[in-house]
Amino acid sequence: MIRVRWVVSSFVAVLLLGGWVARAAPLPDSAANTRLIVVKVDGLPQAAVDAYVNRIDPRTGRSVLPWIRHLYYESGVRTENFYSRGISLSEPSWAIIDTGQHSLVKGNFEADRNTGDTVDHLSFVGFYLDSAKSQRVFPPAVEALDACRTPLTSDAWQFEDRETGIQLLRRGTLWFELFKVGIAPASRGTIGQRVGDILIGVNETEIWAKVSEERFVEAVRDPAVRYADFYWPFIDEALHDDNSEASLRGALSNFDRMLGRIQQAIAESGTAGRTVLAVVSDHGSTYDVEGKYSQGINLIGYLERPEFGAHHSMSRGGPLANYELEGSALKPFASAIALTASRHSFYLADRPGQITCAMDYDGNERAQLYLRDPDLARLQMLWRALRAGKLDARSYEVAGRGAMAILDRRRAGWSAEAFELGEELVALARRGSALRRELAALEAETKRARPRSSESSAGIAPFAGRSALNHRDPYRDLVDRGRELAVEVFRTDKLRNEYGAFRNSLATRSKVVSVEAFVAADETALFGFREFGRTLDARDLAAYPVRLRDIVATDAGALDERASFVTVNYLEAFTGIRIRNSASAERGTAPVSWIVAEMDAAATVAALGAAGRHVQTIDRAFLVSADRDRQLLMLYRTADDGRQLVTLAPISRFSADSPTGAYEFDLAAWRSGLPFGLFEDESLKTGGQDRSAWLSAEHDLISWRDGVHRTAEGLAVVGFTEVATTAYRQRFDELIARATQADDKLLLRFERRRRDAVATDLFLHAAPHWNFDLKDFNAGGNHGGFGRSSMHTVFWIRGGAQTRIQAGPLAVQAPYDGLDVAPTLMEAGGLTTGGALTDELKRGGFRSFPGAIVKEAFRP
Amino acid sequence: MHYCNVLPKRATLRLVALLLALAFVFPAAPVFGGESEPAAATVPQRLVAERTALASGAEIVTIFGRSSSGPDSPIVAMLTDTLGDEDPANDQLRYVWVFTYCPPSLKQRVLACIPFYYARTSARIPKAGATPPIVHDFSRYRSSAWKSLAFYGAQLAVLDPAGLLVRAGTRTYLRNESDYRGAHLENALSVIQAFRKNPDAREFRGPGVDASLGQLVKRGKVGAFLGKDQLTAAARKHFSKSRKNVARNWELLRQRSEEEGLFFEPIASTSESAAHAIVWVSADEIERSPRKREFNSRFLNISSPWSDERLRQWEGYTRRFYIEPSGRYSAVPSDGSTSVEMIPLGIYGLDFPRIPALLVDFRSFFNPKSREISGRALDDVGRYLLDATPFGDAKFFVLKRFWGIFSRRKGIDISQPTRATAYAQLATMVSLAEALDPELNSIVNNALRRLRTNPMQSRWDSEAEAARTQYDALMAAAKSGELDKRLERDRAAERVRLEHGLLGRTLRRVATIGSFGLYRPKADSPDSLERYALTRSMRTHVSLLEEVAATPHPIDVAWAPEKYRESLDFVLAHGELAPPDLAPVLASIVRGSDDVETQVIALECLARMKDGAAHDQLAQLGSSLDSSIAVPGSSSIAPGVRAAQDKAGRVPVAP
Ligand SMILES: [Zn+2]
Ligand SMILES: [Zn+2]
Repeated sequence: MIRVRWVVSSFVAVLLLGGWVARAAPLPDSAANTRLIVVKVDGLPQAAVDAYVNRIDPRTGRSVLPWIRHLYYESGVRTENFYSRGISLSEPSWAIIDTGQHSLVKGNFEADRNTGDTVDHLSFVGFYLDSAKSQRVFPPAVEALDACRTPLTSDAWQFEDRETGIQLLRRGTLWFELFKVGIAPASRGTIGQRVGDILIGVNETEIWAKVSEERFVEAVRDPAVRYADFYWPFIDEALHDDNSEASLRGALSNFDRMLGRIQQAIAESGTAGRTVLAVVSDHGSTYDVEGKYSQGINLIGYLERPEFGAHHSMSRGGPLANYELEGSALKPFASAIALTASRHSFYLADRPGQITCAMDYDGNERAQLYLRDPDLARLQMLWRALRAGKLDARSYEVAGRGAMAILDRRRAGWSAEAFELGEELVALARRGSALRRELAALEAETKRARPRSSESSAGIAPFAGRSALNHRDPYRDLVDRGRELAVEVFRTDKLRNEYGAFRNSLATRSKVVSVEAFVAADETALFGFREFGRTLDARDLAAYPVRLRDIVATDAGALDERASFVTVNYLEAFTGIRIRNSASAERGTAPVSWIVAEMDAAATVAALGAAGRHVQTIDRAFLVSADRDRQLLMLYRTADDGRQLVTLAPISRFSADSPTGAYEFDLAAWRSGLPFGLFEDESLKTGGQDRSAWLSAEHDLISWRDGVHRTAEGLAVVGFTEVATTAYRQRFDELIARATQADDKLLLRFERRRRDAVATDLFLHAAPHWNFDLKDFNAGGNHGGFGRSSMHTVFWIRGGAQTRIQAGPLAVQAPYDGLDVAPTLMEAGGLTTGGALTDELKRGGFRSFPGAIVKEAFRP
Repeated sequence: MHYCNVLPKRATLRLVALLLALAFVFPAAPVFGGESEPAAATVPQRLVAERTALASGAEIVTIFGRSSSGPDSPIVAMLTDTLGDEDPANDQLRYVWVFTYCPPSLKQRVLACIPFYYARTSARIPKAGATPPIVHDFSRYRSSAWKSLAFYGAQLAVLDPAGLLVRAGTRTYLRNESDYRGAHLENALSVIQAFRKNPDAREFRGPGVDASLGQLVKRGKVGAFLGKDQLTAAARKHFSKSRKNVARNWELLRQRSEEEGLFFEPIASTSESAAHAIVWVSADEIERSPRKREFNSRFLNISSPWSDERLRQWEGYTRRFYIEPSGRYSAVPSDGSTSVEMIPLGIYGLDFPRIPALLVDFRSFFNPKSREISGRALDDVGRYLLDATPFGDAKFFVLKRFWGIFSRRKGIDISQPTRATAYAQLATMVSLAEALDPELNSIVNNALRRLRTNPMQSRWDSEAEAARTQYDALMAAAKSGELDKRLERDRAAERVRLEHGLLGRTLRRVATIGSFGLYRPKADSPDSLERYALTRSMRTHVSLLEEVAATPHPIDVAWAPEKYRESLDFVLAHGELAPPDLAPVLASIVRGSDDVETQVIALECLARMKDGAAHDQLAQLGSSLDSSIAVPGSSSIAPGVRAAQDKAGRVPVAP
């Protein structure tokens, strides 16, 4: 007994003296040595955290989310009003958070209007397959960012200094981790456990979480790692699939414990004093209380119907598009693109591959629609009518004149485009051969070179090497550059093929100068199977031709296009959908709450003048419409200092029916029931001004955000602006101006054209508790729209004593959004000072950030 | 630890000492606001519980479905063994009764051996007074799993080679038996899960309940290989999967109904999320529609209502629904709504993988039954004749998998798992009178009776009666002491297992048999009884400490030391009963806690454990200290800490 006593008391003495070796205080370090650890959690609603973090678990006597509380509520800094920028959708939102630059990726699914090529940004399997085939080294979104020379925040650290986990925007693949997941059930735990695991079915996601967390924790423990990030998708999943109290709480609790393990690893690394631990999420979620399901509609199903134009459509191949079901051995990768041919097709029944519309509706609360250039639709209908030989002579003549009229009015544009594209394709061809030569030289060099151990250097050196992976070790750099080049060669060839076909169809059409030539031309040569052509404006959408009714001539003998074609008004079609089977009255019967279409700026100025409101210039204008009576105009202007200014104007009865094609509408007063619900929202902050006056005034985006961020749907003003922004064009223009080689200029112009081509024509926003999802039916949580609960998410940051971050606890009240994350993290990580980029960073492609640093988070 | 590394260590200690001292003066007060568990959502209480105490120290909780018209109907009961003391740590869930489960008669058992015999047998009501069978025994989960594994081995080695007849007969019997019992257990599971949301469902909310319910999810052979964590995971996965299934099938059916111009009405059963739905068609719309109106039966799996002449002269059951001015269908009238007469087409089970399953077709009772039977027959052909397992006839196995995938993709519900559970749930729901109106209720009841495909099941019309009879019998057994005897027998067996190792048990078993039962091992000395109770408590405390030790460091962030202090105290008091694997757990608590008192007690626990592992852990802990500071003696202990600890009577004074 004495021995026991002695042992215990000596332990006590040591405990009280604080003698644990591991607890020795870390050596002081300079701010430049700061480590940045970022936990990227998908779809974490701030409201869900707030609902639980102050609740005490009677079992533990602590918060239900003890670590979140400890790290960010009892110390550290959290921004209480942090929002997604743009749509509350993963890929676009992360692309903004990870770069700090304006939206470049426009959806989870993007189609190229020119070639019909599609990318599914969420297809992990797709990327790994491509990568295995050496067709990609980086995911498509990273390729798009690279084309616009927009680096990821993590690119600022050299390869050896950083550790990036699997996430949507990441450089490279992690095959070894996949392998570990694959063998995990047979390699982990006791024999009994292994048998049990295999019997009850291996939970792949759980193993995945474990394997990737282990990797992350290892990196966090390693004091040499300067930047580490980790992606946590499980909360978003729990909210979508099964938003029961138990699931949400379980998912939050797992996340909380993971944060605890990370904090423990930081402590064990001995670098707590110089480590910044940030948590950021891409969007929130509208989750219901248990027992309520949100309801979906199948938009593709509507587009197949005659009253919606009976389109052959293209969309992300979700398992439930067309009620297709997951898990088929015949179609293992559900992410493949889905083509849906309409049974009711008016003029393309024998040509199911001729796609006339595409939809990105993998966004739950929002969908974006691509429609084919209406002139192409008209031309093809006329071509088919002329070719069928069933028209009488008079009709044949009128139809021929109609076709020529369309060709004539488009000829200049098409031939100019074909010419420019021709130049770019030649440059692309030269680039292809240059790449091949470079690749050969590189392979020779790689053979000569030997792997060298990396020398450590204290500084940060973005893009020090030649590979985008930015190795410190020159040999690894060579090897990876080789892989990148091989992929570039593949990509160049692919683009030359696809865009070559597009250029040919442009050229073919622009060269048709007679009805005879038109009729004789090959259909496929005239109309690419998946060519969408130019974007549509509100006028096109108000009367989109879907069927040739009759050949009607004008008095002058020309084809009367308005009378000859049956049209669909897409400005009203979707908002007019009514559902009889709606499980509860509060969900209503109208799944689409409003749509947005772009308007011609000059025509808008003219129409405003006609309605009695005189504006001088606007850059862009959009029509937001809930129905004929409840409409808004969004008008954009650039201030002298470069700020974007937005004015909203309530209108009603928008039409573009007049023979001249001019817009017509009535100006209306601010009232409740308009899209975005601003006027009636108690949370609107007008700084004491009259609500109507404030809402009618021109504000920049910061003022809009500050004024509307607490309203239910007001963030749509800033959000939609980000969706529609073409800020990337400025970047391309700068790069083109700076490029010294003619080919480089052409290639940049080509990449700009490709980015422009993902623009959509119609934006649809779902009503509350409705969704357009096709990935699966969502039982509960949804996001994608501009509702506050979908936009409101988390950005928390804490740092050790030697970092620049305040000790806290501090809850920042000022609103911030996704654009503000990158500049804040760069500053916190010691890469910038006061937001100023070093020359090194500038050389690495970094440029000034449009967002702001969360200044409250930093020590004065 | 950098948990509070801003302050110098000594100042921290002083603060800790002060807080510790204060902790003894003031009663514990919550550090921050917030209530405990939120009150359950105010849902209508369709389920109520009744508690019956047993003399031997146990409690039976019976869950009743509340009925507005008749008496409440008993559905399921569970027995918690409390040992009759105040210590909740040694409480243990033991038996489950499902009152609608009647033990099959000999005739039923014989019929259940006939392959491809998919018919019900005549009505059978359990004998009044016969104690209902225990459908599940929680403490025998593993052993019965091993038993069925052994039986499976025998099946493969002895019965299967004995010819087609034996193989098919035994396999058919096993399948019927497990389907029958499984359907009742799963129904019980969904009732228990729904009941857990009740405010007075305290015994179903503890940390270990999910693991227990996991036993009901993973029945049979599998159980031999599953640990507590896996069972917990299995239960959670089951509940979540079921919610997902329902959500998906709800939407699938709602959207299909919308597209075909039908009306989808989810019906809430015992669980608040509907597990069933009825699809209706408006009589007016039938009249208005041409007979050739397109109808896509995908997922609906019924024939077109538009071309069906019977519906045009429908004399059967109809119900009034209302069309709101917005066009929405509703079961209740509202301002400006117009009424419409609806004909029921089908009842669907929503808790099915991938697609809903047609349970009742109001125009053809044979439709769902033939779907069930053809699915089963296909399965049985594989099971009995071709041995379609990955180990047997692999070609057929693969073919069957493909057929399953193909048919579900096409929306044909033939390859769905048996509808037995859905029928059992539907029957429970029908017994809760308010779910459906009386007329529909009796139609469904009737249909359910005709839809039976398992010869072991009794007829549904006797179900409510059977449940009552069995419940009364159970209560009688509780009163008469018969249940106490059973419970005492099970406890005694566990005590014997505890007192004697495997060899001892085997010898004693031999002695028992050898003496023709005259010799019975005894383990009922007061010592043995106490040790048994303590061991049961120790299990609970160890599992709590394991949970504590597994949290990230410092443990104090996620666990208030006083919340597991009782468990440490228990180990300290009964260290000799602690299992060896507790040693690393305690060491981890010493390392992970910043609370000095907790560390001290955990160290003491380690010192008190008789086990070698504990001493190894102590040695390891010792070597991880900075030896230069490790001065034995208490002179350096902060006075405040010592005062606090002296008061607690814990700090041993060094020699
Ligand atoms: Zn996301
Ligand atoms: Zn999501």
